[in-house]
Amino acid sequence: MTLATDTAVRADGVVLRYGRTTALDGVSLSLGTGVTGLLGPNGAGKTTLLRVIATAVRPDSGTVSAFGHDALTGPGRLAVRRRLGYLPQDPGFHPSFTAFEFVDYVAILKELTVRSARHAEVRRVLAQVGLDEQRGKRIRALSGGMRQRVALAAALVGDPALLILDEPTVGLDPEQRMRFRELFADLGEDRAVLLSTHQTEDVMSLCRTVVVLDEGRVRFDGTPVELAAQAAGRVWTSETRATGALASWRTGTGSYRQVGDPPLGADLLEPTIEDGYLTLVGLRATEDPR
Amino acid sequence: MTMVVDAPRDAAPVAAAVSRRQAMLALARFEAVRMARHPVTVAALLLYLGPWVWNLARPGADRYPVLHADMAMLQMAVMLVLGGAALVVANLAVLRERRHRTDAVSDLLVLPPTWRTGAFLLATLAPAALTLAVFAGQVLTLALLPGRAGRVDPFDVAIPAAIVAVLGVGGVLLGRVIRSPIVAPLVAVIFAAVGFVAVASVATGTTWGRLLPILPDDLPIALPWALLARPSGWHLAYLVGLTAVLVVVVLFHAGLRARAAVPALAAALAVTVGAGSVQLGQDDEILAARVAANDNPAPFQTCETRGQVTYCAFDDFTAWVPAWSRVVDDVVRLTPPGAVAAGPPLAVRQWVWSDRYPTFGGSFGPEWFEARSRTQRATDTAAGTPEAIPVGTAWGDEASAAAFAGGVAYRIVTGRAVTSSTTACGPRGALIVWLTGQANARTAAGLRQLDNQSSGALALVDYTIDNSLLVDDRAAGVGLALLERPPTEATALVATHWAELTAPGTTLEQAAQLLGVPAPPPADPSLDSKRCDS
Repeated sequence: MTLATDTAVRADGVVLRYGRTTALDGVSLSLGTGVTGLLGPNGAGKTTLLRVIATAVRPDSGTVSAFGHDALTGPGRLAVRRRLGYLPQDPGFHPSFTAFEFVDYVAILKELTVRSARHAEVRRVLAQVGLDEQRGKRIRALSGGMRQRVALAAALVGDPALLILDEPTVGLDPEQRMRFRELFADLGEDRAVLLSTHQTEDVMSLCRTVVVLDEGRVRFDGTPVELAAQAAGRVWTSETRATGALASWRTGTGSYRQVGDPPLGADLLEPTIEDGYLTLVGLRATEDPR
Repeated sequence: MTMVVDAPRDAAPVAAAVSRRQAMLALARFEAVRMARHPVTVAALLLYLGPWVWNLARPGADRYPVLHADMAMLQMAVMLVLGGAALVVANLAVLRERRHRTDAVSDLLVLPPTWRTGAFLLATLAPAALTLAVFAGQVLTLALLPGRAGRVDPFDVAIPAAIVAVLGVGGVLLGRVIRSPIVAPLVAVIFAAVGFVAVASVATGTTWGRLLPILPDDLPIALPWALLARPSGWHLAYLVGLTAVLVVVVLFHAGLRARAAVPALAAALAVTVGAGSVQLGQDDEILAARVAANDNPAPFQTCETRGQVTYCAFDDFTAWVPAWSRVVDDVVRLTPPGAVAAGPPLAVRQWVWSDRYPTFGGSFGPEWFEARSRTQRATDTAAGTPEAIPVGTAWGDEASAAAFAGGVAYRIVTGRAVTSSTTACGPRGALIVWLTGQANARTAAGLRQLDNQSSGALALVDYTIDNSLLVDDRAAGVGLALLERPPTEATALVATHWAELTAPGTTLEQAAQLLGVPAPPPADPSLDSKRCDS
């Protein structure tokens, strides 16, 4: 594995419109080694941004480069794709394929053509996602969590330097989420991982940096601690619900945890990353993500 | 915004710097294996091979194939079953990404669409190769049978594989153009319908049906190799050209540049149009040979003598002589010593209705029958085999054996050969039916078949020749009744009364009495005028 000499991914002033809707409105960001969390309410443009970086969609304006290649040119796009692993939000599967065949098929399309080396690589990634023993099973016979792992294995095959994961833990039970979290942490040690999620605890535990996207614009770009600090002095607890709070909920102790502008003399709390996110995005953040 | 970033490693794929060509070949192998193992392919193979194996292996199976005719007939099944399967399977493979919504990922993978499409096209070689192997195996199996006739044209061996390749590539094209898996099965059904029309059209003398993937024979009967007008080489070239045209269209649709596509398309079209046009032409020499062989097959034949009998067969049908000989011996064995001496020495000559064959029926007047009879007798006499027993180019089934045995019996009983529309009546007719049914198990089964198919008279007919022997129902009834008696008793009765039974003056009622079978019903006066040759 060789190290690049520059930033993994850089996007500058990316604008993308769908008709009258502006999905991305001048987005700029840079990615390097480690896991970067991408937070935002529904319709914020997260998936669109991921697809732009993954070279699936060409922006109307702006620049995107990865590993020193201009991702908006043909050769550059190809160079990016050679280093890309992409797990979409709702990956499809060929149900009649076995897990091995599915990942092998993806490996071929990634131009891993030496059969023995490719098969070794497929076995490696299946073992990496914990599907070593299920590799001969047809996908139609696998559970939802196992299918998600197959999709992740397909994204990992070829050892990509850039991994884009669009809500990979949706629908997984806590144990599976924990397994994925461990895996993402390992993967982030030596590559750029862009993780779109609604799970703020995933961001807190995994991400070295976090980007908050809202209405097609970057609202925050920094560390999780810095994101939490956005709510410093704006989180308090009280015995009654405050009417002017951005968010207010009754905790297990019976008191209300509230985010917003606290009254004088309020009993302030240490903010979490979720509080910072709520502060940035406001009520849209509390909408049902699905 | 700004962000401090580290520089990640510039990781290369596991197998670095591999060519797209290699990736395409790897994908083609992957898809080829999936196409070959696809349930539709497996089902099609079973559907195609199952009946063929059963027909060859079942008790009483036809073991006397005419190789070139059987190969031509199998083409229709190849197109309908294996070709249809290739069309559907290739189409499903192309549509797989969309059907299973995996295109969000696969569109971002490295291998470009043109090369992926190339892989699908190459993968269609798998069903084509499978077809070639299966078909070659079938031909080899048939060719190893001792009773095989005809010849093998290597082009005809390759045509089925080319048919499957054309339809497989067609499936890829459909998948590229129409993103619905419903279309391919519909196209397969349309091909089936058009295939039947094409076969019919070729049989009427037009040749446009050869523009389909199959190359149907222009007559529904097996012809000797020397009379065959199958432009197999040109048809194969036409199929190769057609496949190439489809391949270029598919690749162009997938992104192949015009500067590469246009010359390739021009070359492919040139081959397709050139070969397609040539194959539509009629071979005048062959047509003339058919007319000649229809009137006088002797120049096309080889004769051999077995025992006291001369057998003349078309050069590629001589393997059937031992089987004919067994039937002759079986009939002769039932006759008393000296019975065969009547008339000239026994001979058997193969004929074929190679000119003006009534594909869709037709009627011929008495003058035509008279003329044909005269021609046939003159031909036999000139060839040194007067009153030769006719036999056609169908063999191996029970009806053909019965029709031939009937001809042998007619020759022995009357001293004359069956010619066009010969009718046997009276005791001789009864004797002919009995000899036919008593000769062996196959002729007995064939006689029952022909009796079930006949009305008004028992027709001992081989449809590959224009000779036919009809035995009127009253006489046939006596002969069939005699077959109900124990064979040893019946054989003894026939031997004892042979002279009376074959004498022209003996009535059918007297014959029934001599043979100990019920008297036939009274003759129908309306049929009295019917010509009776015996």
